[in-house]
Amino acid sequence: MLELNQADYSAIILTLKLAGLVTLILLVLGTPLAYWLATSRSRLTPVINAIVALPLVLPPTVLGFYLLIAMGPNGPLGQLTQMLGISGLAFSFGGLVVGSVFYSLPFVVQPIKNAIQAMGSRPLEVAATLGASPLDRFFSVVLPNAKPGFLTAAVLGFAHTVGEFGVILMIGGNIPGETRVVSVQIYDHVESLEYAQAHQLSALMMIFAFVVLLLVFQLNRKQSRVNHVF
Amino acid sequence: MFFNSLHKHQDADSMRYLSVNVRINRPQFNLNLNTKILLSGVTAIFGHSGSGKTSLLRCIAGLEKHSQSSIQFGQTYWQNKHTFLPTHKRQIGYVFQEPSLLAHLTVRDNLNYAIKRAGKNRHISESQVVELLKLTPLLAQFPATLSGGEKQRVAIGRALLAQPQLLLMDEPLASLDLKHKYEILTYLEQLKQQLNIPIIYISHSPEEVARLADQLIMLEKGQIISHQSIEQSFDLLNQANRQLNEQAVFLSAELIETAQQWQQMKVALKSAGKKSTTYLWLSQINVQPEQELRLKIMAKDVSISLQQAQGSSIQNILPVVIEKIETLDSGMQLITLNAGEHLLYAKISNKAVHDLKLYAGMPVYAQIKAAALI
Repeated sequence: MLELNQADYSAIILTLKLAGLVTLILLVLGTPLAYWLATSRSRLTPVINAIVALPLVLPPTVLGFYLLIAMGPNGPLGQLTQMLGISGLAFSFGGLVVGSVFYSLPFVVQPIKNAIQAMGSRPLEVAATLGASPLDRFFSVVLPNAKPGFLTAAVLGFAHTVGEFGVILMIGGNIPGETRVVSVQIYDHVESLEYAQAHQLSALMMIFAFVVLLLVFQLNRKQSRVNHVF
Repeated sequence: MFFNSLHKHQDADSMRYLSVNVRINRPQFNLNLNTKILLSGVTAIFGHSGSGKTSLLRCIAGLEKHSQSSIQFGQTYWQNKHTFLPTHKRQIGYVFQEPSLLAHLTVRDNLNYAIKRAGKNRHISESQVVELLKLTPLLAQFPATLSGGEKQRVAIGRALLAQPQLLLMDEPLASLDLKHKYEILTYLEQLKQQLNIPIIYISHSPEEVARLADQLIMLEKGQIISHQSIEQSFDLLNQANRQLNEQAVFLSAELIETAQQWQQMKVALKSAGKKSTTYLWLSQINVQPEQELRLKIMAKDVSISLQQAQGSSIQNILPVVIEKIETLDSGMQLITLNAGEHLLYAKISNKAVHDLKLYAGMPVYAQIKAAALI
């Protein structure tokens, strides 16, 4: 019953590629950031917390607009790419990755931070008195204890990147195979009055989003049950 | 008995001290102390909650960092103006007030966590710890399925397997019910006898301290008010006990002889580490000749007679002098009795004090109905 055309498939594959890559980058970058935010008593933490949470409240167009300027030939990101001798980020897949990393950052950082905070400092102190270095403590105590937080973070980060539209349109435009993700493809179909095509992709997205959210709530339910036992 | 090889090092160790100079000044909390803690036996830190006991222990462990403080372990500076050795590099074991096992690991893996990270100089083996604390049936379980007492036993075992040169214990019995408290106290006593690790032990229970400690540091409002041997501290502990509405005296004693046919033993009270000529008969228990015994005599178990009673069933009668008479709330009087080098309390009704015409300085006889070994 699905009658997707070549462009639809290409959009789906591009979307999955983008979301997968962004999730991976966010887990690597977001974890130390979340750890720091959860454990540091620095006066900077509220500032960093606010910056991380910005994409939650800003219209995606605002974020996209500033990212576009930053990626332009005179922007800091543009200067950097020029210095490194790579082509500009604007209207490229690389640009989408950078934009999406900013856009989905809070969805990855928050669950990890909450999980580490819920664990409390005592297990870390215990590990320290048993001779575990800070890095050792991270791998032997933080990771296993905050595992549900990491799972939630990965699922939310992935799903949120899949559902992105505004930022992509601002910094990526609409280049098939390069920046035309599913949400943009749907927009295109609607613009060309291809409602049947738009329906199919939209329904797919809907089912995907529902399954993802179901997964997250299941995960949280299991986690809270565990908390009761302890 | 497992750890005989350790005792060779005892002399060298006894020369060593932990020098602690801690200054914490916050609006609601001050801790200012400078002392040398003997790195041998059990040093109890005693004080009410809020007196700074836990902060002191956390400073020693490096869990708290306060500038202007210095901690010197033997020859090594753990903290001074220029250095701060992080917790994981200090060779300590730490037992927290509430049992703090790593919830995601089984008991065996909790022990292994310490074993894997312990230094090369290993003097305590896993089998010794498992046997001493009876951990075998618990090894495969997760912490969530253990009772409070079992968790604390595992936590103590895990701290030992970190091969500490100093064991820090922050009220390890405070979160336990009475039954588990006595169970763990027994283990701690064995640990003290069998392992030669200096222990700093925080408590606010006079009886726990009187039972376990060799030295006592008494803290009040963030300052040391006494740091002496436990025997010299008994009076302070008696006072602390009275604040808890328990009138009793702590004494230390040594076995003189046993009378097998009566299942009784004769002990001499000790003063300043020496046997005195004040003797008591107690129910016999299994003790070694040189082993130090700690006794508790409740004021309600001591009565007074003007003459040495003839034909009394009470075995322990000591000539004493009344030192002080104080009125308690309950229509009773607390009489402080001086038995040479030792004090006793007797709790007597107002009427009896009046009828016997008791006064301070009066020579009388103290009849001790019961003395408990603690």
